[in-house]
Amino acid sequence: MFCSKKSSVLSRVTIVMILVCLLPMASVAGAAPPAQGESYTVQADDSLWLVAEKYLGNGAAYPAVMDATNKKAAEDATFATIVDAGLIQPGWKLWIPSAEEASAFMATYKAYNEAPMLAELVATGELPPVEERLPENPMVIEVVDRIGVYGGDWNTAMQAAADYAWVVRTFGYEHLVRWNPEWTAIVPNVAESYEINEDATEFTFHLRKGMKWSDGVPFTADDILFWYEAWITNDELLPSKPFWMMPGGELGVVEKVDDYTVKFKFAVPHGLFLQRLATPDGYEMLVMPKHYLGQFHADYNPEGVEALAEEGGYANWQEMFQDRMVWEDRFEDPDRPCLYAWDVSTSIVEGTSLLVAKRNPYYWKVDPEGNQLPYLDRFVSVVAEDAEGMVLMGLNGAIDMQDRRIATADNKAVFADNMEKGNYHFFETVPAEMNQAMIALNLTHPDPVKQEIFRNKDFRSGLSHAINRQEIIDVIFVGQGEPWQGAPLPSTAWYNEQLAKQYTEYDVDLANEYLDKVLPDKDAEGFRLGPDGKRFTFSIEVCDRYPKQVDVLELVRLQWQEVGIDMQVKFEERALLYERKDANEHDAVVWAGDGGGLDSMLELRWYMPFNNESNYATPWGYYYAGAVGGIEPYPPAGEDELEQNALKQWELYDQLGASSDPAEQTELMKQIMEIAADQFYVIGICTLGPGYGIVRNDFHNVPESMPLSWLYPHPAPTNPEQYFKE
Amino acid sequence: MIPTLFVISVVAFMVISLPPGDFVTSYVANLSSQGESVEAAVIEQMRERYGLDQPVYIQYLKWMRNILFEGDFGKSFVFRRPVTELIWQRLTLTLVLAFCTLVFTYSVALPVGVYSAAKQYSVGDYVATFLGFIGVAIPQFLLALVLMYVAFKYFDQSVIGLFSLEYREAAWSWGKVVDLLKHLWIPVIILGIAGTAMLIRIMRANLLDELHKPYVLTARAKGLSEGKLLFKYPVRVALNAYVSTAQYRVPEMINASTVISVVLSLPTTGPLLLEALMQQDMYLAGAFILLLSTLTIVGTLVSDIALAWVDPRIRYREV
Repeated sequence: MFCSKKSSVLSRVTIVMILVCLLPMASVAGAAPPAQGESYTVQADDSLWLVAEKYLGNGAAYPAVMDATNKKAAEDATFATIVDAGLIQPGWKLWIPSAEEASAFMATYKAYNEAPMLAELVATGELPPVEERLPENPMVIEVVDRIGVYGGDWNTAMQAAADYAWVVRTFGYEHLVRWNPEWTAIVPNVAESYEINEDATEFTFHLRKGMKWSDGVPFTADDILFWYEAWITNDELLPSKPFWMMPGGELGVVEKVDDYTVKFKFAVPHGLFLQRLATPDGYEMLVMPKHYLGQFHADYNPEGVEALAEEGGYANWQEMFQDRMVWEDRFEDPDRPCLYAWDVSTSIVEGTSLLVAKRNPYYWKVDPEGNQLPYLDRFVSVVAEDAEGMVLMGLNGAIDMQDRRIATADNKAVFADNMEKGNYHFFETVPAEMNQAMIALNLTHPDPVKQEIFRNKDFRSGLSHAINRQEIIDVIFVGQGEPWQGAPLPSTAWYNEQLAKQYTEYDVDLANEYLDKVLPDKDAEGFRLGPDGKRFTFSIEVCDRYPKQVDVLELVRLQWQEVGIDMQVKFEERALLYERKDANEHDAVVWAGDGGGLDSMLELRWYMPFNNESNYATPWGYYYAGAVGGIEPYPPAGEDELEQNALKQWELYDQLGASSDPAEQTELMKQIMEIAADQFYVIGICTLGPGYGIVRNDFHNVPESMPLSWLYPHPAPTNPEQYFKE
Repeated sequence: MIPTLFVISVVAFMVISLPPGDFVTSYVANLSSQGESVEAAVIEQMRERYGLDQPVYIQYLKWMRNILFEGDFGKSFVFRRPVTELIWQRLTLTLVLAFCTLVFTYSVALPVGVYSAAKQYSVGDYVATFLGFIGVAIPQFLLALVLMYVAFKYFDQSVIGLFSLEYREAAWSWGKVVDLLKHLWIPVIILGIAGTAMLIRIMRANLLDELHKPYVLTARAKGLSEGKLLFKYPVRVALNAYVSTAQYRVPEMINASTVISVVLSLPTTGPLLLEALMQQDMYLAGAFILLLSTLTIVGTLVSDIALAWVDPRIRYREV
């Protein structure tokens, strides 16, 4: 069984290799090509391939013979009309084109294949042929292992209803540009190419001619303009604009150059625009079929819009249109056309506990052999209320490929035990997260005493030295991980060793030395006293959804007791934790270390006060992100070194955003990291070990390893449309 | 009844509004914890759109006005669909499950209870008592997990959901009903087992009280056959407690089925209510609580009427 499988693979490979060898010759003339073209009468046992081989020196050029014969037949009825290239009769008169004609024809000829289910629809006339459905220049997707076969479902599971991030990660990632599978560069996607002017203020995108929505209506620049005019510039519907459209505080302008060209213009340089578009933020302009969504907008459907709003139970049309613009609507409305490989046909809100998306017949990507993608017929996700049920599905082999929700470190052993039974194996995920737990003391604490102590770098250094990170790694993370502060991973160009490794050494004496500089006095029980002569106590808040972080804090609490620090672990519900830190009421918070890979250029929460997730200075973070928080945000006053450096970092990042030169951007990132290393805002514990996911043994073309991040919404950048089942 | 419902609606709405934050907070926190981010401007906008920037009593009054005058229970924030639509989808299956469980509970508990009282201290009584205590003692979710594991380990089956994959989307057909029954027995047993065990004990205790009363002795002295005697008098009296607790059964079952439904991923109302509470989806949660309270009140009414019908003594006392 195993042998025969192997040999069939081998023979397939051989065929592919032969074809590949032949392809370059497709346009090259053979040994005895006719100079002017000549007629030929079919003999017994002939085939078009043999004829083409004999006269053009290349069997693969048979479509040229077929085309030339059919053209002749239109003028001269003695020539045969070939409908099916596989069926020619002895006695038929063919026309062999000249070598030049043949090679010219073959240069433009593209043979596309399609899924059998679509071919049936073409045969009954319900669908136009595949050549007409594909754009003139379809995107060619490299396959991971081999060319696939059509058919089958991709079975997955999602937890509860609001888990659309999994859909984004599977097929909801079709932006103008995208990350390449290796996550090293940005590549064109919906746009077949793009240009950037020298100072990074103008971005021109060339769309694919003839590309269509999933209902067959052409996708053009008008759809992107619809997004811009109906939504982005409409202050009534969208009072505050997406930040990535507002470099320098001014809204960018989108222009239609022609049907297939759009231009984004910004007042100031926007060096990170393409990166932003490649993250999940960039979806919106590509989910706006004007011919469908226009009916919900008064500017495009002035007569009918109010009636539609009433029918839908909305107070006015604005509310209705805003509802259409919520990010999950594209996965909930089966009527809404899309550009995705699979088009949602059964949505979760229908109460089936199931999301089904069917093959988009107009999908605009092909494999290197011209087979229209996707290979798989459907994407099916069962909605489970509880992760344990999903794990059971995985163990039973009812999940084809997935890591989300089920592939936790705790489950790894049980998944490993049942590999044979469930007929699956593992793939590796490499986390872009750089830390298991980031302990952020509140450097903007409303209590001036605590603020002063927390801001003292000696205090934080002492606490860091007092943590036995290896013990935490061994006890809680089964030996996986490396002691680490809040620093980007070594794979980034702006990796800073000082930032990553400083103060990570476990040294109680050194810790006491540092802490003695800040809080020298101790009480009878050995706990350090604050300036007011009472025991200095503070609490660290942790979200109850992350039991590992609670465990980490429990160990840290015991380790800090050794150096006389009285820390309390405060276990709370997530919404409460957010409410408290947004209101700047927290002493300290622990949270995971997001943004350690390439995404650290876009997510700097742990390296400078960047957004509300910069838990050591939420008011500053809110201020820099230009957002409104629980309290009035404010910038650093620039009074002490810490505040001056934070301001300096903001300046550097503003420069980075204004630059279009990757080398300069890297240089600026390095400078920001240097300041972060000197300031040491936040205490980290350790890196994450590699993650994993499960993939069934009959499910192919999944890379063995892929990055794990939200800004690289894995596995979508690895092209799930080329996954297949056999 | 109406004032009770009104008070319940106020309390329900208050309780839902009590936890810190609102739907938008939990929405954002949810995305953040998955490593996703939402812009603060969008957050403000959402709050405005959902009317969450207004005081709670205004939100309540608006909600109530829409229910009373327009029959509109509001929209779910999470699903962006009318609340009633969402609830109806799931209510049918919930009621089917509750009804089946009720039938299972009563049809097992009644005969076993009568048997173990009539044959007190027999082997059968001991077995029924033993199983009864086990049934009461085992937490339902644990039973569900164990059954799931057994089904996985020995039958290669994942017992989650109420339908097989191919029937989930399909319209109702004979095949779908059969498929439903195939899946339904597990939650019915899990949900029913504690109630059954409890009812067996109640039945046994009540009946034992009656069996030694003089009227039984009289009846026996008059030469009535044991079977006729048992069912004609003491069982009927003992049924009283049976019926009067029935009012709790429906809401109790819907509550208990929440945990089971989450574990077994059943498409009933329970997980939706839980989700609504966790996400602070106020109108959805509010409508649910209102509905459950109504069910309880209606249940009380029905069981009072049933009680009066079963037990003449109550009827006379009321007149």
